[in-house]
Amino acid sequence: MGMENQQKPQFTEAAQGEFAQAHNLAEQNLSSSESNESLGQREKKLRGEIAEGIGELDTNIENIEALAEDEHMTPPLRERLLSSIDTISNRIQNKFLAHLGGTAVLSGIVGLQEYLVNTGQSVIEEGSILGDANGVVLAGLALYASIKGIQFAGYKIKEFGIKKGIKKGTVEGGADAAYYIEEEADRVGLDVHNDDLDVSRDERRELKKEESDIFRGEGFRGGPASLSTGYWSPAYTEKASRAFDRTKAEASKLLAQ
Amino acid sequence: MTKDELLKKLKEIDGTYSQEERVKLLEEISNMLKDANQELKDLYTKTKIEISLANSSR
Repeated sequence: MGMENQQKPQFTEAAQGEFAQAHNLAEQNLSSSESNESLGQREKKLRGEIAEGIGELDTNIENIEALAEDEHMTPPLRERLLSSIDTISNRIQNKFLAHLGGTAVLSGIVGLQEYLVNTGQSVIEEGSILGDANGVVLAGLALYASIKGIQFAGYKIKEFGIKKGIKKGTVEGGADAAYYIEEEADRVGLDVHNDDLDVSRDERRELKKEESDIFRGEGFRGGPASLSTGYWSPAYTEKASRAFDRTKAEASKLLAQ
Repeated sequence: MTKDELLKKLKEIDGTYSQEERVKLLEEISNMLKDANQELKDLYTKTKIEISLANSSR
């Protein structure tokens, strides 16, 4: 979440509504003694606490962002503040999602890396990593697996032909995923090839350049993500942010059930 | 992955956990949010103080 774009973990109104509803239910169901609290009551109470926590989170982040705009703020302080809030925000969203049934619903490779580090997981089971099929998640996943020597048991890479690292799999994401894999593979010295895509590598590069130009036109920096190091460009932060908002809404529904 | 597929997957995941396990997970999320909120409040307070100090020394 690049602060350049004022990104923050903001839940949709619908999601907050779901949480608020869960909270009200929890309130209604907590009339009995806490000592005799049933699991059901405990669950509802926790969903209520989470609803409050998320509301508080948005408020706290808004306060800090307002502080960053304080006219008395010195540039070094502002930079440090924004960097701190960025770190905290990323950690929150990654942990939040990683906690959902032990499954990471990720908006990008940054989340994946943190998820793996936090859980100590070395094998990614099929279906345990979900994401908006925009290629960023999948390409990052594939490359991270290859670089770290992780068994890649999730998405199959259909005839992708990466010679080193990735065992097998299918990356759904087409040319977009292919672009990231190839560019990053070049960067880290992996040998990759793909003979099955309709769009040539040069064409994919050209398409990606156009996309970057479009993002630049919208005020975002373009350029490919550096997936293996966990950094991605704000252009893709914005793209993933939209996917993440959708994911959060779904996660909120789940929690509110 | 489409939105519907994602939703379906999430529901499958929910169905794979017992209520006891869900409560444990929700406790972890709740605690994580509490810690994060405290951290943000501390950051706010600390920064306010630093702004004051920086400006008073000018």
